[in-house]
Amino acid sequence: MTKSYKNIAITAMFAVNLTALIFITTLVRHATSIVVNRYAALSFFDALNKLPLPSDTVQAAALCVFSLLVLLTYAQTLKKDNMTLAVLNCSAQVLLCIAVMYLLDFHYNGILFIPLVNIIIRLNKNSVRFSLMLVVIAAYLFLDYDIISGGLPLNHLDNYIKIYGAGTQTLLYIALNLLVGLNIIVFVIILMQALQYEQYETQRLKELNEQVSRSAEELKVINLQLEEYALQSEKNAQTRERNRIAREIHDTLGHTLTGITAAIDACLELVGKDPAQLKKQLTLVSEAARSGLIDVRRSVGALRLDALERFSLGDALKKMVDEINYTTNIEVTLNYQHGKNSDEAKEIIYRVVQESITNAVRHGGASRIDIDISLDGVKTLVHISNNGASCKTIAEGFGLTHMRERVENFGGAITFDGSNGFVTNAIIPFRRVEND
Amino acid sequence: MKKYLAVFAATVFLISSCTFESKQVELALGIYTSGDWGVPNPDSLVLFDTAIERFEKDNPNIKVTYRSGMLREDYSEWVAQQALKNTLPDVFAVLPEDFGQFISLGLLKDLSKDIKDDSEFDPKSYYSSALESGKVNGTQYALPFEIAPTMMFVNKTLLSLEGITIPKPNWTWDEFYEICDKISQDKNSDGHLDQFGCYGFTWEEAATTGGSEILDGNTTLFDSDKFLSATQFAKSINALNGGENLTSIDFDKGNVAFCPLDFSYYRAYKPYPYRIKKYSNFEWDCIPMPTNGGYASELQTLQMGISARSSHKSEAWELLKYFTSDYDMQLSLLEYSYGLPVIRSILESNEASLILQKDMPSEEIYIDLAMLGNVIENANTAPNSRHYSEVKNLADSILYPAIYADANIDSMIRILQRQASDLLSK
Repeated sequence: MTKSYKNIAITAMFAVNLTALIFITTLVRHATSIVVNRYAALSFFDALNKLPLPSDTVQAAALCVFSLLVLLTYAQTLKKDNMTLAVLNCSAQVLLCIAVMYLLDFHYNGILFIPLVNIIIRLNKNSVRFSLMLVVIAAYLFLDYDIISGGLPLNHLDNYIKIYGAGTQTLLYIALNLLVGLNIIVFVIILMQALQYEQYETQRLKELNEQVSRSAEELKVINLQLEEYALQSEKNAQTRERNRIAREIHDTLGHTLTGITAAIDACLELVGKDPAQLKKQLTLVSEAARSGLIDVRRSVGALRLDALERFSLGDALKKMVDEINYTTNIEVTLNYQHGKNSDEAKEIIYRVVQESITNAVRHGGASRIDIDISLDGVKTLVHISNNGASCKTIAEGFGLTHMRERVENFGGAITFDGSNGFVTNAIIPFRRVEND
Repeated sequence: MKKYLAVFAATVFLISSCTFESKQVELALGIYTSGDWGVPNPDSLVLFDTAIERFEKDNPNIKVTYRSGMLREDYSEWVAQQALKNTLPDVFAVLPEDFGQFISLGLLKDLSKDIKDDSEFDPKSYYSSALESGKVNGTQYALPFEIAPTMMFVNKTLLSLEGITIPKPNWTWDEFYEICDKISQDKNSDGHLDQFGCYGFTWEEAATTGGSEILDGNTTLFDSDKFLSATQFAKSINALNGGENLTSIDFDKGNVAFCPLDFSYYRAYKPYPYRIKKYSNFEWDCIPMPTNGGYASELQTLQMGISARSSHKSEAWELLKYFTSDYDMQLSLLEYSYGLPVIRSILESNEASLILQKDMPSEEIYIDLAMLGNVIENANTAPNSRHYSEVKNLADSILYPAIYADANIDSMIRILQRQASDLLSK
């Protein structure tokens, strides 16, 4: 039931019950004054079972308690979610109703419909609602004049109505029955609406449920597709890795072997002709071969990704730097600040460092490389410089392009500067930043 | 919330302190001041005015107001109206016929606690029969204010003319019947009796003197053997009147030997000035009723109680105690009322005989007070059932043809028993 509808329902119940209360208490007041004015008090006593409470006080008290009831039901609309409060409130309402019924000598128990409606439309926990409803219904059934008057002296409303003439009596009974009936009719209408609303809610829930199960099926299909995609992706990665290995072999071993082959050919020409020159040439070949060996080692090292998998980024970098320091004459320094990098970011940093070292050795002929890894918020700053050959214009080969692509794909940035030695500056976020 | 509580507490405190400040408590008293015991009494205003004046002097913080000029016959209706209007006086008199109903409607406060807590109050100072009539199921709801026992009025002149001595106080039905039989005569020999034994001896007097109760709680006891023989005795006494339709005037004229009457008649008409108005042509006196295993008198008690809704219950108790047990107050009843005091020691005192003898002709003495006290102490009291008056009226109407005409007593009693049970089970 919508909130406004609930309010209308409760207000209608209030209106009917207030009218009934005023009607009954005014009737008692008026009848009492007639009895007194007619000097019929003593014979009226014969019909009574107890001295009635002063009729004006009863009316005032009944209206006071009724206002309290209105306040309580209003308070219920303010705090919605507290079940304990709601139950307490409903119980207090029932008690107030019983107080009003007591004041009216249990002539009128229709007022119990107010808490009943409240319990039905405001409490949404079924077990609590059911037990409270049971209490109200029991009160409605048992707190009745005919039952209570067996144990408690009460005065029947009929005694007051009988004071009037026959015609007025009929009218009064009609009015009373109308009020009682109207109360029940309003209650039944509210009940029907509440039921209808509940049915509508159930229907809606059912539809929602169906929708959810449909979505779940779709999800399953998507999941399968994703799995396929992952497989595909893995294959792609393998292919890419194979290509890279091919490229590495071509770049290092191929190049070195080509040089060596050419140098040996030259040596063959010099054999027996110029031993001094030959010796010099062979020395060169030897150097070239050794250099090639270093390159191959480096390449194999670079391919061995497990360095990163087994150690932390810092350890892996240190290992790489140490290896170079031991096997070559190049001096490499590492300044590393640890950040909360994702695995992917770690790999990118590792690759950038590795590639830069390779380039410095291979192309720049540097004798010193400084690596500085620092943090800036949620990003890692990588600064690599060497004292090798400078180059005014940088022709980005396979290596640099590959580096740039990787970094930029991840949401970072990379710049190269060849004006003094060679400097690589990269900014790599901890986590992938998706660019549209 | 705390703020409102504080305001509430402050208001309560203010109101209560105001009420304590004005220590004067106004008590309303409900009494009737004329038509006491069916005998006109011009002195009852004096009685209450003096009594209240004395009470207010002793209790300067209490002011007592009452409505004067209330007639006894209007009084019950007036109380009922005040009850419905919630203006019931704090302390009010309750007529014997209203007592049962007022109790069942809850008009009167239960006095048990006041009696228990008040060490000054001595229930033993009352005639026990008078105190008993304020009890319902063992609970004291009212205290007796004044009483009037029913007595047998005797035309002494008539008896001495017939050579009959005045019966002894403990006389029986048989003696009663014998005297009545002897007295019933046709003096002028016109074929109609003109001198009669007794007027007004109904089934009620017979039941009381025969010791037959008619109600026990909500059970009617009309079908007992005692009630049957009582009714038969009433019939036989009335049969002696030869079918003549007697009225009270026949007794007033001196043609009837016996007539059961309230002692208030004796109080009113025995001393001056009223003794001249009635019964002036013969000598008369009153004696206990003749018995047959029952009571020599039925006690009529005017009681006083505290309204269950009085807001000054402790002051009301003081006033009630004053009216019902104060020695001087009760003594003044002998001077200003036709009822009798309820405190036993008063009738036994010299002051009482002095007051009572004061207005008597010198050759006559007032009734033997010791005998009177004894009659009161052992008198019967009507049951305090709500429906007692109704049942009594029903019995009157049904038994009339059985006692005064030829209707069969057995069948009439059976009808009465059934109708009375129906009435009580309603």
